[in-house]
This record gives sequence, structure tokens and C-alpha cells, in this order.
Amino acid sequence: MSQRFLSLLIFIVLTLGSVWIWFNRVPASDSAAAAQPAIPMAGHPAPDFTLPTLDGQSLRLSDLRGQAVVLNFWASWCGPCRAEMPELEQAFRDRAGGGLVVLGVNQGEQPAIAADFVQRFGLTFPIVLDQELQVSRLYRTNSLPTTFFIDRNGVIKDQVIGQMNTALLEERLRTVYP
Amino acid sequence: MLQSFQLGPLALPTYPLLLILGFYLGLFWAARTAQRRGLDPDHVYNAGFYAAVAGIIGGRLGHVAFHLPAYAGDPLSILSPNLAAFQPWVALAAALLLVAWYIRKHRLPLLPLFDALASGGLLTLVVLALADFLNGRHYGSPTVLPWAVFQWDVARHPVQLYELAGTLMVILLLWWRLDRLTPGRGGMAAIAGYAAVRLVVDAFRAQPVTIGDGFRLSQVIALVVLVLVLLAFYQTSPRNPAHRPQA
Repeated sequence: MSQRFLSLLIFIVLTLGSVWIWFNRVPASDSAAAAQPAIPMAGHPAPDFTLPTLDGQSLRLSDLRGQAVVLNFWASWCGPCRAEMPELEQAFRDRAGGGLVVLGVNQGEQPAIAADFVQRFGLTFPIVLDQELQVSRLYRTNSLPTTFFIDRNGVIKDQVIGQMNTALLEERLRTVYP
Repeated sequence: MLQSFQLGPLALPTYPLLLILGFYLGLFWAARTAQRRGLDPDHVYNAGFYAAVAGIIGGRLGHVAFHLPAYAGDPLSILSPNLAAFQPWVALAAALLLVAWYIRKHRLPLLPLFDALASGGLLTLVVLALADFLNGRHYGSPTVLPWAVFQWDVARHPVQLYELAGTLMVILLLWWRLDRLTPGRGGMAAIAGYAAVRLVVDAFRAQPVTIGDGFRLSQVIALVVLVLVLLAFYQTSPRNPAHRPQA
């Protein structure tokens, strides 16, 4: 490439690039209007839902606003879910008074099976039943376990797919419960 | 979207799996490019293997070091298959250190190696764009164009696929013209090409990080990188008077 061609190319790139950037800038009014949509992704508000609890009440996610929430999707047949339950229970017991809620979402099982599981593992955190899988679909949980870390403002800070060890759970908890 | 899939009792997330695939394909392409530059492609595979092992072990050991009390209570959890339990910066540092050691040990020429690694890196970025698409990450702005895709329940620009296609074009162009570029300039062309792709396609990304009067940060960075690389091309041109031998 000749020097003249390169000089011309730099000039064209600089000019057209600047115009393109200017043309595609985001006006402040637009960015304010385009508030983050509620989708199951870090940085976005957690999609809201209401599900029945094991004791026949109903629980709405947005009612937990003001507390950090660890939203854990599980099922009794899922080995890695069983393996991480003691860690989740411990995290809940250690921090329950300080504004942390672990919310277990049982995926597609009968209440009796979920209740038996809860008793067997001595779980004290709230469990909701997603029998029709509508919340699992809302959160795109194709595999178990999947855990979302939601801060006190209802914003998802992190998501972990697969079993968490203690260190990983502690690390991700700090994103919502410093 | 396909964020994960179930294999027996294991939940396998697509993003890290594609990251691994992208690393391998990047290595393959870097080796092919290295061969065209007169380097032994085995050096690329060897350096890549050392980098991967160092990255994995370093990343996990970094995680252990940062969370020592948690691992002390359950030492076997060091072997956790969850790819999230890593310290990425420690992994990167360990990988780079080992690659630097390998280059020094075998006295590999830096400029042809730079060309090879930059070309391979482009293919890794192609696979990462696919991973972004499957996971709905870095999604596009809403559109009514006929090729819109539904991501997060809204018809959007498939901006990750724009990036994928653009980067593939840069790879093909570079492969075609590689012999006409002196060592070092191939890598520069790879960086310039990717910057040009991001400058164009990031206009269609939703939720951008902005600076100043609403300018998209990634586009500004891409333009700066592109111009800097073109200036480097200008400065290192064999026809630059500054590079001509004195009479």
C-alpha cells in the first residue's frame, strides 16, 4: 500500500467513523426511557412472579424487595442440587437476620415430594412450587441447579449454572450481600 | 437461545463450553497461519496446551487462594467441575507467563507469531459471538427488519451474528492477502479488521455503555484502535521515507 493511499484511508476512516458514531449516539432521553427490561440476566431487574409455597400460601418475588435474594432452582432428582443444599441452608441461617433470603424454586414436582426433600435436608428457607414450569421458562432454566443472585433493589447481579462449592457461593453472595 | 443443556445429572452451560471450543479452533487457525509464516505449527499447539493447563490450574489455584477458609473446610471442592470457580486474571497471568517462557525457550520469532495468534484470536472471537447469541448476551436493539430474531421476547437485530459474519469476512480476507503482508502486519490487519467490524455492528447493540453526549463507548474505542493501527501501518510502511536506507 502506498503512503498516499494509507493517508487517504486514514482520513476516510476517521471522517466516516466519526460520522457513524455521531449518527448512532444514544440521546439521554432515549437511554432514560429504555430502562433495562426485566430479563434473567446480570444487570437487569429480576422478572417478577408469584408461586405457591409448600405450606399453601403464595409468595411474590417483588415482595422480597429490600432484601438480597438467592433464587435457586432445584429438583429432588438432581444430584448436584442435593449436594449444594447444605451450603445454601447454611448461608441462609448465617445471614437470615441481616436481610438475605434464599428462595428455593422446586421445578415441576408434586408438593409431597418437595416436602419430603425439605424435611430430609432440614431446609428452613422458603420453597415455592413451580409445577407448571412457568417461572422456569421465564428464567430460561434449562438445567439444574441454576442460581440467581438478586440485590436489594431487585436487580440480578449474577447467575451460576451448576453446583456451587462453598467458595463460589460465598464469592457470589458478596455481589448482593457485601 | 440455548444457555445450557442437560447431560444426565450434569447441567452444562453453553457459554464456557463454547469458550473451550473457541480456544481450540483459535489454536488450530493460529497453527495454520503459523505454517504459512514458516513456523512449525507444533509450537503453536504446544504453547496453547501449556497456556490452557497453566490457565486452568492457575485460575483454580487463584480461586483457592482468594477463598482459603472456604476451601480449607472442604478441600475436595478444589476439584469442583463448575467452571465459574475460577479467578480469570490469575488464569490469564499464568497462561501468559508460560507462553512467554515457551517463546523464550524456543527463540520463536515474535512478528510471525503475532500474526498467527492474532488470526487465531479472530476465530475465537467468532465462536464467542455465537456463544453470545445462544445466551442472549450483548443483544441487539429492537427492529422490524425481516431477519430480526426474537431475543428476550423482542424482535431484535441479531447483532451477535453480524459480528460473527463480519469477523469471518476479516479472517477470510486476511487468509487471502496474508502473503502480501510482511510479518507483523498480518496481526495488525487482524486487529484493524476486528475494530472495523465492531465500529459498524455496535451501532445495532441495545443497552450500550455511553460517554459524553450519548456516544457508544465501544464504537469510540473501535475507531481509536482502527486509526492507531492504520497509523502504525503508515509508519512501518516499507515506502515510508523514514525507513528508506540513507544514500
